Amino acid sequence: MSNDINKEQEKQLDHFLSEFSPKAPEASPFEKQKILGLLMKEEEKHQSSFSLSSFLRWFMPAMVTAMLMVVVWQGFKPQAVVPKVADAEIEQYLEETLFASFDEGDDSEFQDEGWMSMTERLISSGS
Amino acid sequence: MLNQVVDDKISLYSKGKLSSFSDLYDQYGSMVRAVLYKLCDAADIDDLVQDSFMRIYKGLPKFKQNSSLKTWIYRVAYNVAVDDLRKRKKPKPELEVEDTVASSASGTENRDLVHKNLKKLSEDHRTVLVLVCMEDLSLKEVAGITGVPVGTIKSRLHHAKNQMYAFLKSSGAKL
Repeated sequence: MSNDINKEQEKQLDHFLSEFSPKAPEASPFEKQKILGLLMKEEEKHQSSFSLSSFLRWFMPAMVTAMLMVVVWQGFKPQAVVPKVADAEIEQYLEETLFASFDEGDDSEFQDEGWMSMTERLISSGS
Repeated sequence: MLNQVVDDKISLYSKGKLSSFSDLYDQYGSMVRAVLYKLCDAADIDDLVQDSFMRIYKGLPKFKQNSSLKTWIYRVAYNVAVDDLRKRKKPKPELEVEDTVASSASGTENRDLVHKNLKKLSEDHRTVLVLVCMEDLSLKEVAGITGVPVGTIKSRLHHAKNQMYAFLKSSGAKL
């Protein structure tokens, strides 16, 4: 526009525009419910659906951390201590425990009389 | 006081309270509807209002309160309007003279006249004129909403007023 309006005209225009500002048609009485319904759906969809961003944000770092922890633990895990026992010690242990019972028993009779008498009987019967 | 109430509502909403958002709609629904009606095509007003509130709903948790909530909601509505206008890419309306209004034009007729002539303005000029002269926002607020320097807003407003005055005069409006 080549002709600029003067102050008075500007004032008139401001007054006219504020007085006759276009009025939007009334909203439907269900508009609010419709919007809230859409938002609820959106919210449900957001909560139920698998979200790649939330996966990347939470699950991936958690998984990486867990894997790192396993690797670190494996690296620094103390070796299982298997006591090395000498054969001699085992033998000694066995002698002291298992074979001890044999030694403790008095088998002199068995040796002297039992076996011998049996041998004698066999020899005599054979002869 | 009111701002505190609204802030509480925002924090409630951020915790997932849809009821607080319902209150927000009650407070700002008509404002959003009015500004969209002036900036966009009236036929799509319901969809645009819905779109605006969806964006508000999604954007509220990120709202940092650098500006007032009202200004922020205006910005959301403005963005919706801009997106809608760009999507349509309607040819600029011809500057034809509309049907002349009788001197005894009623308020409704004057409103229609203003609405028709608003459409003749460019998107930028219309936005500034609507936000400053009809929504009573300051130049600084409009600059914040549109992301344009205050000086540019001032210049656009000056041109918009000149054009609007000429359009209204040629339409027979009694200013």
